[in-house]
Amino acid sequence: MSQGADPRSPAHEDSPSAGAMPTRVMVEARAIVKRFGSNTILDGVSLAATSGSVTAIIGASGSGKSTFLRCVNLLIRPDAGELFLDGQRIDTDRRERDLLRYRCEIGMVFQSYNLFPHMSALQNIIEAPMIVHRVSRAEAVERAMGLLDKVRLRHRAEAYPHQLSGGEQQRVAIARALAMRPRVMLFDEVTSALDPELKGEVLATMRDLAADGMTMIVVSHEMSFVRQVASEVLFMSGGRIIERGAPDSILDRPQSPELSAFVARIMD
Amino acid sequence: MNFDVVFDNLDLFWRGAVSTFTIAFVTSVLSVAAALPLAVMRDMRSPFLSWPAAAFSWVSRATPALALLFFAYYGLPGIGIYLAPVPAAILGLSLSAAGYNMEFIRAGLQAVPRTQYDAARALGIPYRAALRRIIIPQAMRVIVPPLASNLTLVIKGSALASLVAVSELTGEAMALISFTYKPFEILITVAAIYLAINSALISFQHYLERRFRFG
Ligand SMILES: Nc1ncnc2c1ncn2[C@@H]1O[C@H](COP(=O)(O)OP(=O)(O)O)[C@@H](O)[C@H]1O
Ligand SMILES: [Mg+2]
Repeated sequence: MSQGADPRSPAHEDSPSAGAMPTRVMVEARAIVKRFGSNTILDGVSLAATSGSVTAIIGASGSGKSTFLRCVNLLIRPDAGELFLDGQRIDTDRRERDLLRYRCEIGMVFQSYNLFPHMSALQNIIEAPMIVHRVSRAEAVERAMGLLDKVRLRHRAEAYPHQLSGGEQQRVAIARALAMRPRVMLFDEVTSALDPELKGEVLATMRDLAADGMTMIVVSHEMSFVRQVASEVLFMSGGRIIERGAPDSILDRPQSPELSAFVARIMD
Repeated sequence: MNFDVVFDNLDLFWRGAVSTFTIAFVTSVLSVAAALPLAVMRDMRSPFLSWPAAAFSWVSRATPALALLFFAYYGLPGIGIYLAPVPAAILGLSLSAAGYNMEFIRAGLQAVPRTQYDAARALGIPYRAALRRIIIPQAMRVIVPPLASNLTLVIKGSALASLVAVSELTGEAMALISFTYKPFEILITVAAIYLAINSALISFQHYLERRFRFG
């Protein structure tokens, strides 16, 4: 459904929560190629995420999922391919300093949380808005407390990362990314490092976010989450997307032998 | 044992101590201030930045402090730069200290996981701000102990300045010994003054270690 839309065409629908079906493409990657030395890690990966959609990426370890997410927010630069944010083409060859504006429109949450260990939960959240958007401390704190409410951690605002459980750290990391008011959120296996009983609270936060209309690209192997929340599932193998479709069709009726094998492994 | 020789010459000890303290303090500040950007440059991808930093580190650490000091005082006039004794001493000692400072700072920066840089970049935080707010505070607990130890060496080594005509504590005391013949009392006093200056530095080190402790 997103294939036909020209990403440069003017937006039809400005507010994703207005009830109408949002059709505007928020972020698009076209034929992304990334090589490390002589290894081609991404071999022409494309994705178009409409506003408010949740795109899940699944695939075996080493298939290039993290590398792809890192290309989308330009933590690493693709060797070829194009990126569009809300219809605007991003010049991926610009200097690091010129990419920062783009990058703070795209929130990212990592498998290993990566909170700043010398700062409290609250400080972790207010840091980037104060530095990048020059928000006053008072305003940053007010917004941060609202976000801590959203991830149900207001009572932990003064705690340091080492005093928080893995699930709490990950929810603070989500709040920290949201504090930049990104238009897209990237999640890279954010529950993989968590004990099973802590995964639920992080997944619940992500469900809330999806329900609020956030555009999300989620690398995850939480199949019930993917099934319930994802609008589209992409299956990556060897640096290519070899199947894409609705969650049920991808997970229940795999076409390729690679996906069949992957699904069989994931299900038990 | 008679400390009258010390009390009779308090002004000499005072001037010597002030001079030593000034040279030590300015050298510490300058050599750390120079070492920080050099440490950052050393691991930059651009060879135009990393190579000069590497060369500086090599020369600074492989050359005797005394040779650098003599170079600053006797050598630089050869290319038309005439420095007064105190600035020459500070320059020579700073060049000598900065190479080690740089390596200690670099080790601290490298001890911070790459993922912290990623987290800062993903939030759109500019590199300098990330260094200042996120990387350096975490690197401090690795940097501070060896850096402070090196600065205690610098303070003790400031006695070399007497060899380029600076009147500092050790040189003045040796002169006093040569006409009073009271080495015991005088040298105990000198040692006590170095001890006091270095104790202040070590207290500052402990303050920094507490300040940057977390987790
Ligand atoms: N910085 C890098 N240098 C070299 N190879 C890399 C680098 N990053 C990732 N790779 C390689 O790229 C492949 C895909 O990695 P990754 O994107 O992390 O896969 P996934 O997230 O799907 O497990 C792996 O073979 C990995 O070794
Ligand atoms: Mg990965």
